[in-house]
Amino acid sequence: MDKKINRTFFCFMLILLSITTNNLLGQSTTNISGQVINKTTGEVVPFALVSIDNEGAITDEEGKFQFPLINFKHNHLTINVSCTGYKSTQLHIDTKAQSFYKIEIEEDLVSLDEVVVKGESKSQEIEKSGFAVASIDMKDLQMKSLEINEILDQTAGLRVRRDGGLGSRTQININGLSGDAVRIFIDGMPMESYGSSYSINSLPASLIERIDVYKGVVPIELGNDAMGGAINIITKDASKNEEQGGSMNVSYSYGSFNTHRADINGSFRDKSGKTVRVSAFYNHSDNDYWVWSDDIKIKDYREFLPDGSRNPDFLSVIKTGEKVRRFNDAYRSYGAKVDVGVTNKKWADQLFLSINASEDYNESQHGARMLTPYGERYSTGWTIAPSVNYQKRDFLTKGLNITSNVQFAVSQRATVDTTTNRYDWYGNVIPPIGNVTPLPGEGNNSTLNKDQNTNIIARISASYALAENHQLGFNYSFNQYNRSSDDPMAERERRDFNTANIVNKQITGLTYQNSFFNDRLKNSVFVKHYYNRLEQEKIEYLDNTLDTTFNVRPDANWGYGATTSFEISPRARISASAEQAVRLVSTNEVFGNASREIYESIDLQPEKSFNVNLGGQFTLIDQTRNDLRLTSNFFFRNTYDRIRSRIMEQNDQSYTMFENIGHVVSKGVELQLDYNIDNKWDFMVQGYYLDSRFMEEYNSEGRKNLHYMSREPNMPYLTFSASAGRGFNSLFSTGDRLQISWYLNYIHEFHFDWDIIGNQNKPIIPSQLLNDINVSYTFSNKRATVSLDCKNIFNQMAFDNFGVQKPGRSIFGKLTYRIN
Amino acid sequence: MKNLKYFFYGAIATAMLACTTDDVVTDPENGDKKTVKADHVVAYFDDDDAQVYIASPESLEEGSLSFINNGYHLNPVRSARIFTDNIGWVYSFDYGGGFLQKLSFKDGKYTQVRELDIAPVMGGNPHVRPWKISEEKILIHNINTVDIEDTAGTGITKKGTMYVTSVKLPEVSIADIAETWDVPQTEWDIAEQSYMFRIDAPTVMGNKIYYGVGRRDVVDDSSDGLTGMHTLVLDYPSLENPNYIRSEAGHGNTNGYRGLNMTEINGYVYQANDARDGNPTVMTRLKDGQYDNDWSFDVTAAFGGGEIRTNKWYHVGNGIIFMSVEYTRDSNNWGLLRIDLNSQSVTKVDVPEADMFSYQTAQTRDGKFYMAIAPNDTNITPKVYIIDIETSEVEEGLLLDEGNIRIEGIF
Repeated sequence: MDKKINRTFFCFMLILLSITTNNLLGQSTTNISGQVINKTTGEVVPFALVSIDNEGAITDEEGKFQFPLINFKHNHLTINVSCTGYKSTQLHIDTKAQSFYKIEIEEDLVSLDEVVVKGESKSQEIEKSGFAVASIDMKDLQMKSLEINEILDQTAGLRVRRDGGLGSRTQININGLSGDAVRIFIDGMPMESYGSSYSINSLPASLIERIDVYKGVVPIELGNDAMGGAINIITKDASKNEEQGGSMNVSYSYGSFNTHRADINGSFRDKSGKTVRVSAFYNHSDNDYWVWSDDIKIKDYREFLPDGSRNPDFLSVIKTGEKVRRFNDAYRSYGAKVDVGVTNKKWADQLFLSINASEDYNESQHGARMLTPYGERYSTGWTIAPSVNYQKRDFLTKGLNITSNVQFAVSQRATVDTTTNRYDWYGNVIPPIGNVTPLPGEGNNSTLNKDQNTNIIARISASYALAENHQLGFNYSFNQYNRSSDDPMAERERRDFNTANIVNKQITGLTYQNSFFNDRLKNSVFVKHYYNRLEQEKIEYLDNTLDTTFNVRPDANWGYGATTSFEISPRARISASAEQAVRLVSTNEVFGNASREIYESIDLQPEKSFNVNLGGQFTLIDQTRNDLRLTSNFFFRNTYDRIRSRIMEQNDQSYTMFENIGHVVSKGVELQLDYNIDNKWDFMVQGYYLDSRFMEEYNSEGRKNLHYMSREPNMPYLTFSASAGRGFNSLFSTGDRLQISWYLNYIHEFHFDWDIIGNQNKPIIPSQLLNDINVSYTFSNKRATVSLDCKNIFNQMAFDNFGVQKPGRSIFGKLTYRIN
Repeated sequence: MKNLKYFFYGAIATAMLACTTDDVVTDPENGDKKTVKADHVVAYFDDDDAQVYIASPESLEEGSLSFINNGYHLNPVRSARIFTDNIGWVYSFDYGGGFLQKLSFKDGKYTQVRELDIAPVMGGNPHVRPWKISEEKILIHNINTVDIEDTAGTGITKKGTMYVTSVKLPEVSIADIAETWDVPQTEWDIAEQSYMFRIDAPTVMGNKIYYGVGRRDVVDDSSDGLTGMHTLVLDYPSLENPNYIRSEAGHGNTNGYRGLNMTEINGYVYQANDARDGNPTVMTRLKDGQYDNDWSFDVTAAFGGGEIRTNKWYHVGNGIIFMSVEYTRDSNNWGLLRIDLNSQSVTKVDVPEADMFSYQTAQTRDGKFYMAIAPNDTNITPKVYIIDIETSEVEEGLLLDEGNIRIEGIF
């Protein structure tokens, strides 16, 4: 059935494409454009670096480049062209006279080994900053039918652990740290402020310029307590690379499990710089993929045998590992963002008013493991978040650049679980057993819980050039988060708890950066101050009378660090960074939450860690036709007061409680080799090893910890991945490109619990070897791309978390279309 | 002809050899058994009730048993309740997951051979309590409570419903599902605005089964300040005619915790309270479905005062019991008392203080009582303490891991 739909869909898309691809690239006088040509052969030179002032571009397969005129203040400009194997060429131009330039460049056999990289991409620039950072350029990736999570998962040292298909709970793990230790930002704004209905996957790939993954040390601009690292998603800059007029990107993908993903984004700008940007997304998946792990237990529900006697196998497990299809796991989300503003004004380089609204519906198939299926439980959520963004270079005085954002978000999440039905793994309601009516609620308790959240975030960043090569930076962020919860189904005494939870987090950072020897040596030092004030109102019984208690816990912590990066030669660069970082505590962790059965832990301390990263990027081979690059990163982390949750018993009741488990030392290494031949073949191999050990010899009671020196549980520690790709240029028509890529991922088995205790029936997440294939074709006008992604092609059992199986083989097709 | 004879002898010899080879492979004592009767020690780690391991020592008297790279992870959702039978099967109830599992034990290896999902017949609740009532039966029981709006307008009260299911051993199959029963509002529960929240520690005597009862205040969900001792009596094995009864002999819950808190001794079912609010620890007894109001025993007074409380005890024969007591509530300082019901005398047994709150079971063998203890004093190695039932003399036996282990019991 799926296959048939797929085929019909692609036929339709092909017809659509053949109609639309006839449009030609419109020339416009608002651009500086041109073509780079080999002086001797007359052939076009693709992938040459073209730069004007500080703007850079790379020529496409036809040797063409283009700059929006609006980026330059003068009419007289110099175009620099450089390309491996050619002599650098300069051309002085007058933009008033001409807008299209043919630039001929000479071959230079002598300079073959020397590469003069001038117009380096922003991603390359970020990677030179001294932070342990991987910057993912989204240009090539947005054609693929990949979710952002999947793109992140292909980054060395980073693992995105998921509970299932689209919309499932995800946890990002950077070099062995996860949860609240890793923060996600969109253009510097914390992701969590967008509400739970807006996930990282809701952002259309075509809106994203690049993704910066900071492993360990995080720059002060990302004002949050991101101890283990941070992911900053940079959306496309409205003031750059956009001509007057409009442009639009549309993409649609369809595939296995009735998964539809559509997004559209467009922008329009008039002469005066007034700009409107609109983006919208829609995601839907039935997530009805097959699962067949040992957690799938088939029981015999026949209470009596045909002869009327009691069935001895009644409710016993008669089969494990039965292949069944998930049936209550659909996910749907949609949302839109509108930005209205002005660019390139005297008083503002950018001023945008934005509003972001999203809504989701998420069915829940099971609890923490796949032991018992749920048939009706679901949750819904929505968020509305208006914001203002302001940017100005040379604010008040020359050299002072200001960026400021303010956002106010209102969000709600409601969970619905009231049914008295129980379901088997085939999706059938289990017939009522005897006279026993099940209690309402498929989870632990029936619930109609509603969380009502408001979140105000204000952020200001300033940088000031003290002198050439000396820069001072400042960042302040204010974050106030209020949550109130109510569950009409909860026991009365629980309902009275938790009338309000308030977190006020203020993070201030100061940094000084310098650079020497023509930017070959870059250094920075920084200091951060973390202020965290937690408030909770509870109604409690004090001496048998109801009273509101008001709990407050303020916390203040300092963090500091330094980074350095040195370019030994144009082919080798090393970088180092170190930071004393803090992961703050949250209200639920500290004051507890009765409706979630979390017990208070008033003395819970923030997690503190000293992180060191040493990295290097080396170009091992650099010839015209092939290049080989090695990227490596070593890290060391000394963490105190690691926070974890545990289940505890008190007075015959069990609760979750957060506690500091103490000292953990982590060391790790990641290596990545990239090999590129002739711009046709590309190969990548990467490996990652983490050695994270529990180093607390005695517990709080002075007892020897049996798991002293044990590997930290539930943490992947050995992974390999490899990819190979082949690109074909001008295959069917000039300028088109077909790219075929294969991606392999190996995760070595790891323990869910401390590995050194016990040796039988240990919960282990097994070793996995997963293969994905992607084929994408870009039409010669560069407007349309169709791609086909086949994931987990050998239909392996895949797990990120213990006992929760991820989808098997699946296939997705995607169409991306750009209209200028 | 001769050749044929040799061939014949040869065949017999080969056959005999084949037989002897078989015999060599088979352990003469346990070879054809699917499971072997052995002692098992169960412990949890890192103060995490869900990290429960079972391992079998060669002897309880000597040597050592370590859980480092040794032992079967019972892997429950929340905690594991363990029972063994005389054949050698190990039964583990996954509290929180609702599965009753049957394990075999042979050559140091535990293998799960059967699994039964109990929750569907317990109102869908996986947080229910098991008790092995005999070699042939495990009872699973619970009180499920829901809030109800009081029609009189006095606010919210609780409605409790009792669920009981019998599981046949060693098959581990459901033998009987008792009809559910709504706990009536008794005058004492109305008076104290309390409700029955739990039943456990069942004991069968004659044609009756006696359940200990835990009660809580509707308003603040605490057992503080509630009076009386209570029992739920039903016909057995029919599990019909429930009768919720009360004694004024002491104050406190009688359901115990994960261990035995009621047992039959010389024609009576004895019961202790979990004393709080400064009340004494008291033992009462029942017969024919009724409290024997002429008999009670103030353990606290016989001990010489203090604020001792108990949640389980072990009858070792002839009216002698060993009782786990916490010397002050919530201090985690538990010890062991030897109580002679005949002479109503109490003596403290010389074992180190330990957290025995969730301890499940101990063993009685040849006049000796075996209990595994992980002392609060970190300088003392956790081990099996062997107590002479007659003299209370304490010997030290099998050594266990030094460190953050909590012992659930010897099974």
